[in-house]
Amino acid sequence: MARVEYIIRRLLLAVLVLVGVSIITFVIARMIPSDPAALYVGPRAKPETREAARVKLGLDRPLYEQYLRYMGEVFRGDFGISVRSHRPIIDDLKVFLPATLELVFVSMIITVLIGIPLGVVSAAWKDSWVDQLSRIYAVINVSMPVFWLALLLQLLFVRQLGLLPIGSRVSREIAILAPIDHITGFYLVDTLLSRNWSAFRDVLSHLVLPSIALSSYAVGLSIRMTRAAMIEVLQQKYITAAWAAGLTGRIVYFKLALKNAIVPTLMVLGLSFVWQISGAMLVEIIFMWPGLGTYLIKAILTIDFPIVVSVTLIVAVFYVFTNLFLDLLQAMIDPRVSLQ
Amino acid sequence: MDQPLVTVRDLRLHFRTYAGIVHALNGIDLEIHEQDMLGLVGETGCGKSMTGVCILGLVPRGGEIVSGSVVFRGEELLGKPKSYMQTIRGAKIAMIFQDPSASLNPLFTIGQQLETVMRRHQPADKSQMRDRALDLLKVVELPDPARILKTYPHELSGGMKQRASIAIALSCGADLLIADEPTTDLDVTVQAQILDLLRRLRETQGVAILMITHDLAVVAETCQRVAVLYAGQVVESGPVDEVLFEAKHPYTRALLQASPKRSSRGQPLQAIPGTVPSGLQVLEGCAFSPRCPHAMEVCVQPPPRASVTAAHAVYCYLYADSEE
Amino acid sequence: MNMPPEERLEGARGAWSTRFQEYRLMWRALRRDRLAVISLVIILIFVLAAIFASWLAPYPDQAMGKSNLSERLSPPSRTHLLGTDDVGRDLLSRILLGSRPSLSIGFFVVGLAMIIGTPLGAIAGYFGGWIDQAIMRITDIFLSFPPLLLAIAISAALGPSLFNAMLSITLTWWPWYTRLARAQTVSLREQTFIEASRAIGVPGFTIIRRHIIPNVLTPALVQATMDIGSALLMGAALSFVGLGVQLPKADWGNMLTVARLYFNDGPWFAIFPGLAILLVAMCFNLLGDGVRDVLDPQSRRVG
Repeated sequence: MARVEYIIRRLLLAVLVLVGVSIITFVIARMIPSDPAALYVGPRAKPETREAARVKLGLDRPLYEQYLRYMGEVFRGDFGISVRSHRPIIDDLKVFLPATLELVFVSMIITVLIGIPLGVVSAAWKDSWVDQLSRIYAVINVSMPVFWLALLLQLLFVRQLGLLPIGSRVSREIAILAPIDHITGFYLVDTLLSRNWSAFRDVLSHLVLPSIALSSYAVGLSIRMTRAAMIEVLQQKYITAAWAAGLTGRIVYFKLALKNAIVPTLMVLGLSFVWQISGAMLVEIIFMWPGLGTYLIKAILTIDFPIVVSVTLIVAVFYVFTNLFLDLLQAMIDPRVSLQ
Repeated sequence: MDQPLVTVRDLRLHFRTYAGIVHALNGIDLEIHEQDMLGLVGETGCGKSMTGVCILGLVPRGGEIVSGSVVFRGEELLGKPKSYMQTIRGAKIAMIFQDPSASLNPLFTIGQQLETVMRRHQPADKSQMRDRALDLLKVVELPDPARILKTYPHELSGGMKQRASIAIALSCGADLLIADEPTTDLDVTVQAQILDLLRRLRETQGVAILMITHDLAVVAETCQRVAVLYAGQVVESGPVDEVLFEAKHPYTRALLQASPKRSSRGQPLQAIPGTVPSGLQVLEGCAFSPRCPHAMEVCVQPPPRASVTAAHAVYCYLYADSEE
Repeated sequence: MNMPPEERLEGARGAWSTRFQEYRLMWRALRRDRLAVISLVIILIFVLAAIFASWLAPYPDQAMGKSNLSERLSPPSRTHLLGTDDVGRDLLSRILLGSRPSLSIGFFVVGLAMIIGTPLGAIAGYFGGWIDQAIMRITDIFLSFPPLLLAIAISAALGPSLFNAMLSITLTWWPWYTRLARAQTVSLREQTFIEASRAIGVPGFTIIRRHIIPNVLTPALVQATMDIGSALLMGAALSFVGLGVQLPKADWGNMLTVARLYFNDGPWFAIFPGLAILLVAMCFNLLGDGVRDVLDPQSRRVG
């Protein structure tokens, strides 16, 4: 019962935080110095057109009213219209959001498959050469500017070796010869669903470099975090007791110790997930990836305020839900949590 | 019952530290018989916990057994590979620890922890193991065993946690249970219950118990035989009554005198002058001689084993002429 | 005896002086960690290079922005040790000068975040109740923004410049210190010496100032050492996107923005500034690791 109470409390908290986030986003966006109405109609419009635009965009209303109106629309799925392109933002989102998410998901898979086991092994064979190497690898990953890594990868694999494509999600040949059915927006999934094998290989090859670049920071962090957590757990008396009961390394490390170490690791993974959503921005620029990041950066530089608000809001929502999910996961793993 | 279950001979354990080599054990001699209850008593730092740990081969990092032997049922355990020891631990020799809150994994239920150990040494199908688990919990006298299987350690009281630990330790029919200060962290009344339980288990489960403790009273109440440790050496050993009521070694005597008794009411407590030697010092001869009121010149040589009676042995030059 | 009342309690005296003694011991222990010491030395070298950049740079005017088109995109040579950039400016000089904004962001952001966040967290943790709830909710809200995104958004709103970049990154960073301080304070609050001080009537804020803050400072400092590297990375990311130091002023991030366009013809232009970032960030991380290992028990409580 305590657990159910905890879950409800956490949900309410998440809602509260979301409201706060939306308010702050709105305020920040309005701080961008410029007149959205002027941008909307362009520099050559007449003052009357501009005034009409101002009313249409609701800019003549007090701030809180603008906010409430905007929130209402968001809940109905209407994210407004781009000030520059006059296109509904929701249409843009439908294309760009899956692109970024696909990149982030692949990157997360890499993180989990490499980061966690390396962390466990590092801790189990503490101070051995395996440990030293993986620690060096982790520190480099964590200290590396991700956009620089992306550039280096391009330099090596594209320019020098010519192995992989330089950017975007699909090559032009495939786009023409074997176009992808836009079902979910996740090209890996879409190509599999429509058995478009050549397109699948093409999409995969385009995902390799960006996801490796994007996952680097998270891999480094996961290795460090898992290793630290495991080392601490391995010093606990209940692990000694497990050894004293004759349990083998496989059971002790990967079942008993890992479960105790997994909580801080999960936290890091969750942080990594959201970090990667924003880090994706930098990677997208380098690899010309048509995702949320490039969309947002362009919007900021062209002062397209509705887009800035919408994208920030969406990413923040992801963040909040990921944290919520992690807290609930932690409550499920660690029975003592709900007591706090 | 001729051959002892466990024989420890001249066990020496060194630890490598920043400050130098710490001599944790300096030649321990012990014998544990079937269904024995041997008390290993001494002050903090005398090496009693380390002795228990060495029998299981679980020497902590930085430690090295430099010489000696540990024989279990005729087999020398020192030097055996890890894989072999992992079949001994938990199945033949088991251990319970001082703080049951720390020695039970907080993220697994009691039932899960029991199952993990049982599955390792004596796997059977789920329902068989569950029945065995329930029986074990009944044996350690835990009420409502079915519910306990599903509880987490933090939901149990100290005494119940210790009982659960005992159940886990005995789940695979161990012949020897090493109990490292099992009641030190418990309330006095609970202490008595756990000690009672251990005494009973010795008979019903046919298990020998090595009771490691600093508390002479615990030894007096529960053990048949006792070995007194000082600075990594055994100074006196034998049947409990003989050692405690006819203590021969100056250290044992001083220890007994230092404990508050009803008869010494109103009088100052008799502390032992001096301090326990730091493990960094290399000991030549009797470790207690610096503090011993009867120290002689010859005490700089390792003291011989003298027999006070057939079972009661003391390591002291004072009794050297009664050597057998 | 003119000591304030709680000084007469044993253990309550001078938490600050105990701290200083502790720091001296820690320093001695840290000296044994070779990796940490090497990192510290490299960091000091960079700091000195940043301070004396104008004198150390072989081509100071190029570092400032004067172009040298005749030598544009030349590879590393004896005249230009690291090569030149797209308008022929000496890369070594530019990188030396570029260390200034990068290092300033690192130190400034973390310093300010610690100064703002730690007392807030201590207050929240100590007083509890609605103060705690209010502060923590605001912290949660700020923490719900992905850091880079928030910094970009605020920077864009305020206008691109070094100062605004510093400000925006600080705004994303302070909540971490608040959370840290609060967790520490909550566990400290239950300790007997705090109860004792309270019992003799020491006012809350004095307790915080004298006892809580010094104890909270240690894990905060460990975190800070590692954070300087991360703040530096974020600063570089912001200028890479165009929201930090503006060209022609030298900055490692904005150099990479341009370098990207020329990496086919002049890869060194892309490699060296990034290498500088990597090196400095690594040193801060390794130093932070060393510091944390030295202070092991405390950091475990917070981690």
